[in-house]
Amino acid sequence: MSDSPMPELPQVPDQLPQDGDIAAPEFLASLLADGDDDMAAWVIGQALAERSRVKVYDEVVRPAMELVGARWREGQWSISVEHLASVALNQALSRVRPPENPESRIGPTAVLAAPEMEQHIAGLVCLAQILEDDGWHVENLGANVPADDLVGFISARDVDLVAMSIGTADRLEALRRAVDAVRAAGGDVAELPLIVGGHGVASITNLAGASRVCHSLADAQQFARSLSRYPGDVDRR
Amino acid sequence: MEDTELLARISAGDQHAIETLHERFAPGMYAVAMRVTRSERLSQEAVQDAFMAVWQDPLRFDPTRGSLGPWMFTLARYKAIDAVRREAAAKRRTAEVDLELYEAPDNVHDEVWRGLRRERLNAAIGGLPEDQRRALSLAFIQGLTHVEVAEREGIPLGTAKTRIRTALFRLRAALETDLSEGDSHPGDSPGVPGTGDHLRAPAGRRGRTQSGLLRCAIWFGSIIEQALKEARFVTARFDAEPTAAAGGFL
Repeated sequence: MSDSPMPELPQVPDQLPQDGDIAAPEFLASLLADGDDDMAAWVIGQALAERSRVKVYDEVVRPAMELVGARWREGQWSISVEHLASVALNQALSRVRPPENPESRIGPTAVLAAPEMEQHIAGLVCLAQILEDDGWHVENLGANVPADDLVGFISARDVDLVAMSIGTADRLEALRRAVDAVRAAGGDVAELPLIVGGHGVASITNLAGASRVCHSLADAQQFARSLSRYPGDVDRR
Repeated sequence: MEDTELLARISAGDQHAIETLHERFAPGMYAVAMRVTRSERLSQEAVQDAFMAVWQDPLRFDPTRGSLGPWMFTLARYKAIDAVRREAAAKRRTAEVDLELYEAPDNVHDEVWRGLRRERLNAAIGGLPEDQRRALSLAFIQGLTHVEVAEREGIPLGTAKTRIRTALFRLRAALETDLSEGDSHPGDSPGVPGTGDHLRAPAGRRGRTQSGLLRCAIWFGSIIEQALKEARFVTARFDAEPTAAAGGFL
């Protein structure tokens, strides 16, 4: 502890730092753990002003949530804090959602879902916004979607892409069952492009029946853009 | 200069190091604080508080748990929340003081009212015949019963009652005349002393009815009773100067 007096520091100029270092994953993680979705949204918004959505979500949001998960696994943060962070992130993401694009209402349809028992949906929300930015019409089914129900849903619609996500590796079996169910559906549904992602697939590179295992949102975006029905870049930064 | 080296220098009291830290992180910390406080003044305070905390104890930062920038931003956020908390507490205190000041006129008025009432009561009591004044004081100041007043004065009970009753009527009449000529509004709604009602605008003249006069009489009666109750607290003075009623009964 310093005993000498602190020098008089100047008034802080009313301007943001140019390097955008406010949007550091550690800072965002601490905000989310405190449930401060307002400031979390502001931090994400600051980053979005300088970088593309997919970069911000891959480089800031995803690492922040991985940090939250790591601190939970290490026992530093409780399950409650982890859940608070998840809720705060979803609220923050809803605040920075891209403006409605008229063409996305008529764009190709992507169905997003988490398999049975999977509760983590932040990755799906991020992917939904990225696809919407690209002009996709997104139907995000969210958490804990039974495989049979998913097949029934996509069979009844004109779907162009299916994306599934798991937050932890212990949901891999549920993910496999869902993919198998889609492939076993027959007809056009069995041929649908289907990608899987999320922290739970970090340790695998292939999954039977999946068109691609995506290890980043950029990866998923790239795949979606490669599809023949890709609607074109609405806001490609 | 690396973060850890910077903090080590701060720990050694290097003033240039804290200035470097300020240059590096203060704008971001200020932006964070502004997001919390929405106040330039509070944000400046929060940033200053954060740097003071770092200056006083730079080893609070644990480099194994993360990098310095996010830690500084988090510190600024907590200091900003503290600043908001302080400001809210100060506003509450100010509001309490404002409320006291707002209520003060009533208290001042009450004091003035009591003073006027004492003066008028003193004058009225001073105008009473000696036997009535003494009976009144025995009954209302010393708290004797009518029987005890009669025994103390060596008069029949009926006479004691008559003296007390006559004294009260005279006081009421004297005070009624006095206050009617003064600044109150008998016949209008006189209000309740001590509540500030009597400071408010009087009711319309059409309200001056028989019931208004009755209320007025009750009001004057209550004034006397209240004044006499108050007078019980100055019995020592009365006892010392039993014959000086005209000069200062109360």
